Amino acid sequence: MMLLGLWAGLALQIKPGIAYAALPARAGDEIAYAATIRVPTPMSARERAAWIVLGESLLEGTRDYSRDTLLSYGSQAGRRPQVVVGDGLMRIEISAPALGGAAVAVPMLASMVTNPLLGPEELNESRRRASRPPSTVWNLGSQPWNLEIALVRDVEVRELYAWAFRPEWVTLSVGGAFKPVDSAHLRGQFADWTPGPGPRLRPGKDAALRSTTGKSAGWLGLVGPMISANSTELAAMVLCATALGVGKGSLLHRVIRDQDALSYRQEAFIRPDGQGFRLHVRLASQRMPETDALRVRMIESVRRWIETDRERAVALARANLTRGLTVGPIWLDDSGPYVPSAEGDAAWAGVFGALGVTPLRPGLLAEALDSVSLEQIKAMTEQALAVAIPQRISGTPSP
Amino acid sequence: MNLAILCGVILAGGQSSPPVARSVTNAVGEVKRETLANASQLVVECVPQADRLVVVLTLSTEGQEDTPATYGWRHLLEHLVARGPDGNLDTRIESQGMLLVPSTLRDASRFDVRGGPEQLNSALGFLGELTGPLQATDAQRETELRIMTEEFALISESSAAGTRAWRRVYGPTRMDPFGHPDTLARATLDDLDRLRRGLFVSNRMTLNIAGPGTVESMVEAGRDWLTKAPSPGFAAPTATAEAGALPTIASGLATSAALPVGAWDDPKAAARLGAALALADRAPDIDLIYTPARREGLIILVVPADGDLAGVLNVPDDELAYRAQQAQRRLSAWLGFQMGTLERRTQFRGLLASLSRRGRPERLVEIFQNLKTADFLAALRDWRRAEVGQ
Repeated sequence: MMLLGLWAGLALQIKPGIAYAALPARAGDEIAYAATIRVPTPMSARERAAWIVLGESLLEGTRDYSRDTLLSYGSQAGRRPQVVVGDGLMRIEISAPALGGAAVAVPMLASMVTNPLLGPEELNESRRRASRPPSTVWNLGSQPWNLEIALVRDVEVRELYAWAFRPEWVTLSVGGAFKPVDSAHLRGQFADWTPGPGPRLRPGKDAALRSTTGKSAGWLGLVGPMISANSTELAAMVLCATALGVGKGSLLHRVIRDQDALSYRQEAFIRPDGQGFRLHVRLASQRMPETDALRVRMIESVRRWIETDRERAVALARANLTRGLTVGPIWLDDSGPYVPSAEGDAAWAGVFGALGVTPLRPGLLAEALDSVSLEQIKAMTEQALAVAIPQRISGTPSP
Repeated sequence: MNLAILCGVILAGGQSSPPVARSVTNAVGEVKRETLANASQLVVECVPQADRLVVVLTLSTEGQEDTPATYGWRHLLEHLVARGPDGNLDTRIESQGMLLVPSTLRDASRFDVRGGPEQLNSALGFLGELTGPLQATDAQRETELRIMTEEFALISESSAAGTRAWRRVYGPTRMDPFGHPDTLARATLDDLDRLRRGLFVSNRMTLNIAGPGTVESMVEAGRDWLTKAPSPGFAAPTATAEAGALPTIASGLATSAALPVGAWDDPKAAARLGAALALADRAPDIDLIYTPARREGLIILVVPADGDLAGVLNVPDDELAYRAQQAQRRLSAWLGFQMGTLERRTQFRGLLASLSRRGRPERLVEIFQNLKTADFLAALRDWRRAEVGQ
């Protein structure tokens, strides 16, 4: 299929095994630099908990930059360095003005990746922050394992860092108004990084999802089967997600919200997970519907999709991918949809690179949407919903 | 006055070493603003290189703010109006690759349509559908009430703490727009339609258009749209329902410090905002809540309940000068953020214009530029004495 010919980004392997990926530069006055770390094997519950603490700790300071310096970076560049933690994925990202920003931003990024402090004070503070209940019920979906966090020991976080932050699992990426000299600067900053291999954490038992207090809203998710990042079905899966749960004309909004009044917020999207992307359906509700009843309700509605549903999905997904409409079907992490921008492009390139494929250009993916038929979308969505694995987390998060 | 130039002055002026100062120079286009005969305002920004279009209708709520009796009614009205006359407006908008983003603030109601460069007429047509009579049924009102109850369950700890801070400082005189199921249930469709007729009138309207079209074409389209806006003529509706007890926003999982400030152009507000931004750099888990206000405003710093808010606020004396310097930089970065994308910038211009006929980002730049280190030092000391609560 045509998608096979669309891999038009750039991917390189640089010494000493670090990957580099980028989409074409875009006009503007900002550059985003990112390092994406991907652990290629599934993590145990204990490792995932340590992973979250590790992510928090990267903002606690490095041997080159104090915490205050990292946090104050925003007063100069407008935005602090970001650490985005996913399941087996972590992205450290820093933005800078295109003119002269790399000299400060790139060494700071490199230091966060290669030289974090990870001392007892920093880890204590990180553990304390990571142990907090999410600020909203919606975020329960991205923090279902944090019951384990309070138990994680300092040595486990350090060992996980030493094991996971190895050059061959790191993808550097850049997005925005960069020039070749900027990407060369980024790659050069890591050229001498040769840490020794660390030990793997011993597997812990699998943790249950967050326990219930049974008071208020809960969170319900469905996770569909995985497709690879270079699958010919990616465009169809993008439209499945859009028709299902992007925008107010989507199935979830019209049926689950407007007809059933079961939730205020409900979304569907594809997100990197394991070796590729999976379809995710999420909703928050105080009247948690039975998973199978919800599944049946959605499948019945999918069967009634008509051409206008496909057309809406194509128009919306294309507007997101090509001109930055702020809703969209591709989430690179749990924080929200990809939107074309310096940060978005760096994250996109980093995720595709970390999954081992050359980053697909969003604009070319948008062009591929037209060739997907309504019947393809309906069949693929129904199949994904039928086998999707349910996740339920009930109750108000408690301290 | 050119905002881009002024931002450049602020970022460079008086700073010892801003190694990576952000500029918004490239992002801002030519701006034209006018007040029409029907007292509506039109603001057009021409950005030739933009790949999209943003149209924002901002409705001033002056004299029609939420009260304990009408708490959340505008929010409910927003939910109902945004469905459009046929209940299917969103689907029709999205089928053209466009998006409607409604929001309800203390001092304004806002409807934001985003689309492609060639979709100005469509965007204005969709916005026009919002100004007609309310077509909702009681069943739809009931459904929206249930959906809003779900919405309340998702309010973040920070937002809830912010609302509690407003209550502590201003009581019922500056109600937040969220609403409460009890007061919302009292709003009849007649109440809501009277609210709509008082709100969707020309003298409350600011229409912002930003995109790659020519100034002339966008001005002409905007004028044409605004001249058809309903005229004022209805007295501001009064609630038929009686005020209940002020609903509580329960939680307690976050702590806030709040400093009252004046209107959007109050220099002290700017200094306190800058100081708050600098204080927020002292820990990784602080949220800052501030929206420029027509009259009384509030700047709020929120930390999780186990966070060290006192430690954040009480800057040691030997650190004050450094934080004051950071405050000035942070203020520039804050404005740069507001002006950083076409969507944010257009909303921000619309809000400021709806707050005051003089309201514009360029005025803020002047205010920021005139602040001295002593102003920030005073503001940092004010934060030490800020009112703190759960």
